[in-house]
Amino acid sequence: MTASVEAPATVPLLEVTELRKFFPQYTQTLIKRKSAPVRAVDGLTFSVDAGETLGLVGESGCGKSTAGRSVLRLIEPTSGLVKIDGEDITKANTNQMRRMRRDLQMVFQDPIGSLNPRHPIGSIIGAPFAIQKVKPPRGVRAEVQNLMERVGLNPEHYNRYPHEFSGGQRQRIGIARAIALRPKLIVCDEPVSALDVSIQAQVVNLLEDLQAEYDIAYLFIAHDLSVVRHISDRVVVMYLGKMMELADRDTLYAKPMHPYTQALMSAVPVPDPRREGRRERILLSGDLPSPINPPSGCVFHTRCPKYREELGDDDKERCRTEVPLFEQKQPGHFAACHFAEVRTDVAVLTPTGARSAGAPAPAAAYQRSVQSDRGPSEPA
Amino acid sequence: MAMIFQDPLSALHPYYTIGNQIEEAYLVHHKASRREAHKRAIEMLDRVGIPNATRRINQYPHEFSGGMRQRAMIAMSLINEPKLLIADEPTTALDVTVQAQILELMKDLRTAVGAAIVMITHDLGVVADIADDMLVMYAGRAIETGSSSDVFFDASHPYTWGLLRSMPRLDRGRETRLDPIPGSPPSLIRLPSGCPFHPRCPFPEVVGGDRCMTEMPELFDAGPNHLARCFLNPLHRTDVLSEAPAATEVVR
Repeated sequence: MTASVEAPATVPLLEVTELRKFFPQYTQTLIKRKSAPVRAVDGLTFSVDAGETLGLVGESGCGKSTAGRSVLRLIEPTSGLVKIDGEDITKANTNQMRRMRRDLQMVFQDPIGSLNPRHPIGSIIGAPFAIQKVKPPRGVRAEVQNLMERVGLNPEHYNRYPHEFSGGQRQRIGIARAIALRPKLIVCDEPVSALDVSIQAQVVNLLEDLQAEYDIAYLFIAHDLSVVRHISDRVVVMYLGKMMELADRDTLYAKPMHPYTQALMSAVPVPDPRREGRRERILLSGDLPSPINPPSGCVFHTRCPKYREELGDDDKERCRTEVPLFEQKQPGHFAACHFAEVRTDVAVLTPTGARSAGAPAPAAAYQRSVQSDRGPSEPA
Repeated sequence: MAMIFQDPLSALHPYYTIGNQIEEAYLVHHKASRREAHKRAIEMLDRVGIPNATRRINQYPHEFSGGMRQRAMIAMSLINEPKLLIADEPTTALDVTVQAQILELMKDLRTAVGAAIVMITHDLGVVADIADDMLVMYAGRAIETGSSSDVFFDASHPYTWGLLRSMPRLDRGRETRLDPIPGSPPSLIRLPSGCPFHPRCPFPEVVGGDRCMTEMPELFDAGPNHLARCFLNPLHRTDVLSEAPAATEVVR
């Protein structure tokens, strides 16, 4: 698994370079004027290999969903490249786009808003066949019922309407529609956020089974760090439209480098009263700044605990003025921070035997991470 | 007694300023002048960590962010120094970082004001963080109750086992599969006969006969101050748990 910035040996399934989406804003008094745009997505660069799951996490309003939609051109990106199998789709015309959409599908967050209430689910799941003019060998109806069975719905419910199903079942309908044409990539935009925990587990398992069966790559967007850890191979952390950190799952969760990721990790409550009392919790002050007028330099400096407590004046100056580059700090581990350091004490999953009190020196941390490249598992 | 609601945007009136609404709560219960109430409201906003409270108090709910609105709600509920605070999913609509702020705040205020909190939530992580005792409900009934550590480490009802096992967790190694509870919650109009959980429960045959289908179990003792509404007795539980290795992990 090579990370996006290095030249990979094979072409990744999805390659996104410097993707930006700015929503223009207008002030209208007498004359309509363009004012500063909302910088929803500001320079995303990542890649997804076939059959891989890339998780995209961040607080609400950080541009995760906009990123997911821009990748599929459901909203037109402002600039940047999106390559599917090495082919740039941002310049494709309608016909070319339609052909490529066969490989690109989406599962939406809100299963009721994304299913037409006036259509029976048979025609909802069968819609991709009609749009793409694909004729399944045994006919659309047989194929749709096959799909329904595959995602755990009763095929006899072919003629029922979306309101007759529960939340989990509706999400299964959305998934059946997404896999109908055997796509190579599915963008899952918070597919389980609206579901109860017990149902959530069923849907997550279904997504994993389908991935194994059809070799689908997922771009999995969610704000729930536990779900993302469960399903993803690599994880991107976003803040205010920018990438903060990218690493494979075990590294990111055991040894986060960026202060924002560390704060996120420490904020997740763990269902274990004994451990919950022992953990150190980094509290972020304040709220997400406005993406219309993002802070200068590092966008996170206004809330950064490290900036507030540890850095000297010269270093603070640097955070305020200089935008940190998103660079590789360790093999396969990228972060956008001038003073990125591995911290293991905030991670919920502590590396075995290394529950250090303070942040270790970068060199020592690097050594350790090279020695144990696989994330350690929880001692019972 | 006061209540905090799940969705602070719809619980706050959009046409009145935050200050107005908080003062109202105070004026209803105290013989006080507007000015006094105003001063008190500013004090409360300050206390729940809203910066620049004197200016913020004259703003409307839409000018506040989600976390700030929830803080304002908490300020409103605490202004009369209630003995009991009922919080209905107070952090469900918030991001984890903000959720952590709010939970810390509630814990601080609990000690400062000395209020008891009833925390209604579906997030077991939040429960582990804040609760001393917990009560698990299913289909309108309490099915297990006890201290938080008893329920987490010595869960005695199959539904509680299922809940604990179906959650993806940050603090565990990634198991290959999640272990969901099959089926979905029953309709409350036509509850299943007997134990309402029996259609989704893996263990009716351990209990034997059709007892689970016909008879509603009482809350049985599962330990000191720990009750569970299930026919499985401790002997059954040891049997069942030794057969299912994943469950023993939950129970330890």
